[in-house]
Amino acid sequence: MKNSIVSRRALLVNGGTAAAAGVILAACGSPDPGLGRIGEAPVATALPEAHVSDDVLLRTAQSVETLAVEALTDPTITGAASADAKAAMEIFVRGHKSNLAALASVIEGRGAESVTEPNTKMMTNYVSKAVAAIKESDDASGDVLVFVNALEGIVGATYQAFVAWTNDPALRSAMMSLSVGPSKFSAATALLIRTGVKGVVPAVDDAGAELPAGLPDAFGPLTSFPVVVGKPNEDGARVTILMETPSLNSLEY
Amino acid sequence: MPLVDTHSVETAESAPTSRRALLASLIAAGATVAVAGRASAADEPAPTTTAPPLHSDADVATLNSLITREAAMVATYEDAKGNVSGDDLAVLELIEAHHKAYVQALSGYLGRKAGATTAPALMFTFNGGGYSNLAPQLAALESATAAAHIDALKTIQGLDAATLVASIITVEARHEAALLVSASGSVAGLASGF
Repeated sequence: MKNSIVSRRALLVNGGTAAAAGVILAACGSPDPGLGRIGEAPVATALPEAHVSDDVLLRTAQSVETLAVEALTDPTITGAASADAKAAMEIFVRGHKSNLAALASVIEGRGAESVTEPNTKMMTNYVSKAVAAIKESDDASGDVLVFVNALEGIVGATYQAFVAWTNDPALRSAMMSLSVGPSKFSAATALLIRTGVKGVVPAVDDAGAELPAGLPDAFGPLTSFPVVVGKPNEDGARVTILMETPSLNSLEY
Repeated sequence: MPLVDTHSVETAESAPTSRRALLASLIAAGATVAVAGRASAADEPAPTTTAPPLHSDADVATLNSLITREAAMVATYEDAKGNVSGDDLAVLELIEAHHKAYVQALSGYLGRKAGATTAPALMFTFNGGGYSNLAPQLAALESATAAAHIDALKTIQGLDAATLVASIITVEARHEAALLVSASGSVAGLASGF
């Protein structure tokens, strides 16, 4: 063994070097289709790359404002609303249409294409579910107010959320000027649920559940807006919808 | 390429490779492969847009002007509170607390670059009508304060400051509506402007 050409140390050195070289070569090489297989796998097509541009955010804001108009003029909602709520919702609709006109003007000025349809995902996940639940509700007029309170809150919060994604400071300012109306509408709706000055201040009911309030937070939240509506099931549970501002999969690219 | 046979004689002194060094070289080789993989993935063209800055010193003056406005609102509510009581007082205390929070948040954001955090009260007239007299005036001041923040956003470069100011605007809009509706009992006052 004394004169052996390959020592244990040399074996380890050469073996390690060879292994490392093999790893590098394997990484540099192209995939080898040489392995035997049955059939042909379909070639994967990459999804088109989508950028969250300022135009995308403006178009999404359009779709959210249109969503609000559609929801507030839905026959189930208007049919179940009290006279006070209906009068308020007519004002809100005018406000959203005013915002839509402003958005269309900005989008046209930027050479982008307007969106005329309501936001599909929000319509499916929030509005349609709420309308269906309110239709079956034992307290439909009360549920309408709960829904409208959250709906207006989410429209206002949408603009607030978009500030973090918007590149142009002037556009951030313009968007926030449009958030004022829906934010006011949300606070006003809360005061239709809990009337008078007591409705301004946050409070909880006997069970400790948070009651709607005109001023629930010091800073505008970007968390979900819960909506509990509809007829209680056999366990006493009602439909709960967590409304959120548009995310990457609900933007209008 | 010429092939060259090399023969090395291993001695204890010259042997550069220990088991530890070998493991280290393998780890290094693995790291090289990983880097090579990333480098090939980076062959795609890099995005050319520049992300907005999170913080900008250019915003200091604008944000200090907003602190002054919020401090003035705090002083205004402090004065107004003397004219109401009970649930009406609770509303004004709540809104004053919000404005105090805005002063603290904005000055906390600026740190040592923050200016004065106190200011004289804004003008309002009290004719003895209690909350129903005060609330519309305070609502008008809330509207003007929100407008000041919206205007400031046009020049604010830092994204953190912009998002903070945005979170204040939505609530100041709510202040205005809450004051108007709670004082009048009607949402009709929100119809103006469109």
